[in-house]
Amino acid sequence: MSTMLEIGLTASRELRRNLKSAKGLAMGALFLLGGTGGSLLYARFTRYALERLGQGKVIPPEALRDAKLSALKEVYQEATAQYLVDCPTVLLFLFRGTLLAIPLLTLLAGFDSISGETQHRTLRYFAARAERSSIVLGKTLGLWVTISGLVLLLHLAVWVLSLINDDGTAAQIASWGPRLWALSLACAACYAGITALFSALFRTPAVALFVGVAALAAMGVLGLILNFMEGAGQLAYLLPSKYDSLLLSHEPTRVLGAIGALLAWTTVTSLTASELVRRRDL
Amino acid sequence: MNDAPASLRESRPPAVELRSVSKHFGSTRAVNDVSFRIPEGSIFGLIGPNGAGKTTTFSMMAGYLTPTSGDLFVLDHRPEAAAVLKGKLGVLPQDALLPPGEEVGEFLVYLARLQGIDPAHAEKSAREVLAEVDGATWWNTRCKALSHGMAKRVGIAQAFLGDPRVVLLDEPTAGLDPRVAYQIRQLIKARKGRCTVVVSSHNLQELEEVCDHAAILDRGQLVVAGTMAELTASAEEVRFELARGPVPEEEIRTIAGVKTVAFEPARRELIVTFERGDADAEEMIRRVLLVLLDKQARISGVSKGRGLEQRVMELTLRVGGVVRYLATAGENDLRLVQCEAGSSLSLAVCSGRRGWWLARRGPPATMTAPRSASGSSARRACSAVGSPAREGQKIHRPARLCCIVSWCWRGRRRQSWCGARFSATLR
Repeated sequence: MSTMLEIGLTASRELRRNLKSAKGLAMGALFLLGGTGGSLLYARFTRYALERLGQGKVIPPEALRDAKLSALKEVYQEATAQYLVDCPTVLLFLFRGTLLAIPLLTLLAGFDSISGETQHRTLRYFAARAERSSIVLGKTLGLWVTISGLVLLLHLAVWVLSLINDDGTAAQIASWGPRLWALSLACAACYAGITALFSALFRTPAVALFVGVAALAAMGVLGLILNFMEGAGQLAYLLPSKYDSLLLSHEPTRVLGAIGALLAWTTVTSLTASELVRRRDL
Repeated sequence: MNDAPASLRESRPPAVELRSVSKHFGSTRAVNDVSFRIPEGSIFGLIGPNGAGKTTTFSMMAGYLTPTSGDLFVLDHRPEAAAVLKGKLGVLPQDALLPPGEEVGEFLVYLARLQGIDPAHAEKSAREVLAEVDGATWWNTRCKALSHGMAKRVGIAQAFLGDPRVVLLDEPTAGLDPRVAYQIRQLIKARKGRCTVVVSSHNLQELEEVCDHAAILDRGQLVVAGTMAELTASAEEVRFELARGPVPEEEIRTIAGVKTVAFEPARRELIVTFERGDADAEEMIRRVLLVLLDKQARISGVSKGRGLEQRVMELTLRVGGVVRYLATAGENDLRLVQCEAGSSLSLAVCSGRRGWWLARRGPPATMTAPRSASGSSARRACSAVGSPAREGQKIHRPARLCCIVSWCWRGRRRQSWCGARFSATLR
């Protein structure tokens, strides 16, 4: 119980710290503006494309659905495309964009959460009061809550704008919006763990950030290479980015498997970070 | 097992206990085989020059560093056991930065909650400790806006948060103005008996004023530990600074209880040692003063013992011609740590694993072995060394002394010849 309380207290402190810091506010504002602006641009572009397609006439809903399905089939398997066809495209775009932004956003928000307090020895104030592992797990949890909250804000803004712009019905947005946001939570948790690990590995925040960015880039490139290599595709499952597309699968088992894999990444990385800090001389 | 002097070997369990604790950073031995106990309820000073290992020892007590070897217990638990020590151990780290973006009150409430104070009382406790350090108005101030002194006081406030049983303070008054430093000293003194306070500091006058026990560290090793009275010899020695006039040494020797009388012309200081059982220091001052006044001596100062500063200088530093020298002889690591002018050679014999045996050469009755696995061994070691040093004597370089060193190691008495080459110049 005490451990849970320590984790909870540290997480709420981390949340307050992130939301009150100039860095947190600036990043949050940029993320929200960028995400909302990007989604609006995408919606406008889609509308423009549809107008061009219909040559000024209103396209019947069935034809629109068929066109959307064929477009989705280009990216997803047929069954998945059938599953996603009812989702407003702007929400799909938002979801993919969110998954793309989460790794860097999480790293930027949390690279100094542990390394910063190790560098300036602020952790010493907490070390006699709480288990170090609780502090690390609390910080990871706080980072995850921060990112999840930020993503929720962005998604809320886009849901409202989609309703206003008639990019989807209220029922579609109410059904798909929260679902996609909830799926992004698993991804945020995974990268919160990875960020905690990089932050725990180094005493200097700048080094943690540099190595973190380099590692994320390397993981991205490696994922691309593995996807194109015959016979090595299975190795891609070792990387968290592989599970992004599985989150949108029509099969619940695959979705749950992807969530499980992302949470496994979270567990392994955050526990490794805890162990590193526990063993370290502060 | 217990190498601490009798004063530290008290029946009640110690608040902090170090048993052969060492800490190495690579090839550097920051702390080497240090053992001592800190009695519960005492105010304990951790003393030593820069690089003595004070902060490393302190950090191990606080659980920031893990000892390379040896055992360290705080309230019978390892200091890393935060779950058990939560709320019982308060620490002021020396160079830890307060989180710059957080407000003082918010930070203290978080710490209070973290150490188990319930939400209803967390803010009240935080406000109380902040008021104790005269910082009640800083509640809504961001930590980055605090000056060095203010931040230090917030650090002290958080160490006292929730009335912990053991409080570790690393340089608590460094950087504070005299008024606030005085307040902090009063704050520490007010805790005497309520909790155990360990103060690590360079300010020896402050430590002498505040502490009742102390340990002196030098080059990572324990030189001596004991009560302040033992360290300063205040219970067995009184000093009189004489301005001019006669020095009635012979008359003073006849006073009941007086053991030795010595007069240092350079400082015009009369040093009187006495048997502890015959009289206390105040009574001895009264008796000697009567004689001095009777003989028309002009007295400009009276003090009990040597003063902590002088004692630490003698033990750890090269000051005023008192030479500190280390010479090692093979595995047995025989060390001549100090040549004391006018008295004798001080030896520390280190067996490498058993720590220091510190002793002053002279008749066995006057020798002290403050931290010795076997006091007699240390005495034997010292009495085997050549003739007593005299004031002004020079030991020519290189001198070679041989002695028989016997020591206890793992319960077995061992004996060995040790040769040590060293050079030393006495005042």
